[in-house]
Amino acid sequence: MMDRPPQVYRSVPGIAWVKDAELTLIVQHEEGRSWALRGLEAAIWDLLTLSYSFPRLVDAVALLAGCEPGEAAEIVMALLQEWEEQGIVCAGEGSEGG
Amino acid sequence: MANLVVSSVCNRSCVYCFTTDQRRLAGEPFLPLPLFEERLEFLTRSDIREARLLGGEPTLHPRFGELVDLARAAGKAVVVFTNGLMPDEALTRLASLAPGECTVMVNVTAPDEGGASGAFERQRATMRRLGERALPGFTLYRPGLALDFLLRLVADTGCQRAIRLGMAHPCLSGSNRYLHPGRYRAVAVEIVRFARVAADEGITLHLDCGFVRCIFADADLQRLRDAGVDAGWHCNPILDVDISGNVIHCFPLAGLGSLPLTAQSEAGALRRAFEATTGIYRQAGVFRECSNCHFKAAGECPGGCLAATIRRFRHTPFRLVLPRGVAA
Repeated sequence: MMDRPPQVYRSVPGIAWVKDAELTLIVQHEEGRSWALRGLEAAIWDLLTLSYSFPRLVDAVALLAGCEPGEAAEIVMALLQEWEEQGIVCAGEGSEGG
Repeated sequence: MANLVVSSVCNRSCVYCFTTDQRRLAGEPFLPLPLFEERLEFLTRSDIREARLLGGEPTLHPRFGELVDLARAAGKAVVVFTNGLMPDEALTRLASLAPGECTVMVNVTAPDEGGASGAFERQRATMRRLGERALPGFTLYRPGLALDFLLRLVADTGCQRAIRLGMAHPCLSGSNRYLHPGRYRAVAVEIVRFARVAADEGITLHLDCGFVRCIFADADLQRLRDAGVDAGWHCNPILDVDISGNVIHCFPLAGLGSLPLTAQSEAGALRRAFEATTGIYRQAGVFRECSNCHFKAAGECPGGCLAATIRRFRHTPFRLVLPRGVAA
């Protein structure tokens, strides 16, 4: 039996973002929508844009949030699902390579 | 306010020119007269009393004199944005207008930056002919530009005793040389010094769009007021109508899209449409601090040039691969 391909989250095409002093602003020009991320959310977005792998991301979030890696992974997953519902990221299948 | 592009042709190639993106969209080199009449009707419909002609270099339009005649016949004051290197016929026509009917904004080249072209001498000669119809302007595209020559220019030519200072803003494509926001404060110090020298000679400064409140210390802002400087912090849809009948927010934002000029178009509605389109970006500004700035929150300052703001945004896509066993 073949393994299922890994799950991948991607930024939605057409969004743009800017990192400000106290927030990260994300915009989707075509639909005229925007989101302001602050605190831990903004930090996680920043790490995603820096191409952190999932294990490195979880480790960083654990440090930032002062929690165990297991709890940090739950935070990351909950946030990704929230962003998916908002239309900032999309989930799909992909390769682990590139 | 709305500007009418009548020529996509220019006889200069200024490094800071922010019409590059717009001129890529241009079809015809010059606006045909019947279309110019339609543009005038748009101005009248929008209760705009000035016909503001720009390019490229607007005075290179082969029927420039007729454009001026049509604008005057429509009851418009004529405002021309020029580099001052204009055909004699155009200059003669402008010089024949009463000063109250005509303002010619001459964007001046610094004497030491015009190369061997003699551009500054020709601009000075143009301004002498135009006298008080002429208003000199200067584009700040880097700190350290010597500005005092502008005072001598005003004294020599009998033009209006005012100088319009603009910051070089970026095209969205970034293809022009522009003043990076990181250098605004250095330029602000120079403006404050220059304003005081100018005021001593009875010359006032007008600051163009895109200046930011916080680049001036409170004490310097008071010095500007004392020098009679017309300083405002604004970045609004100017509405530039290009030769093809596309209305854009302004030249730097030409790459953001356009709206068609129709027989029903009215400036207020076009402006509101652009404000709605760009509103999402207005939450930010040219500096990282703009989005939580109290001047911006109070509506005192919009956060500078929107093109410079939008250029701060990143678009690089990212992906996160979940390890096996972690459910998406």
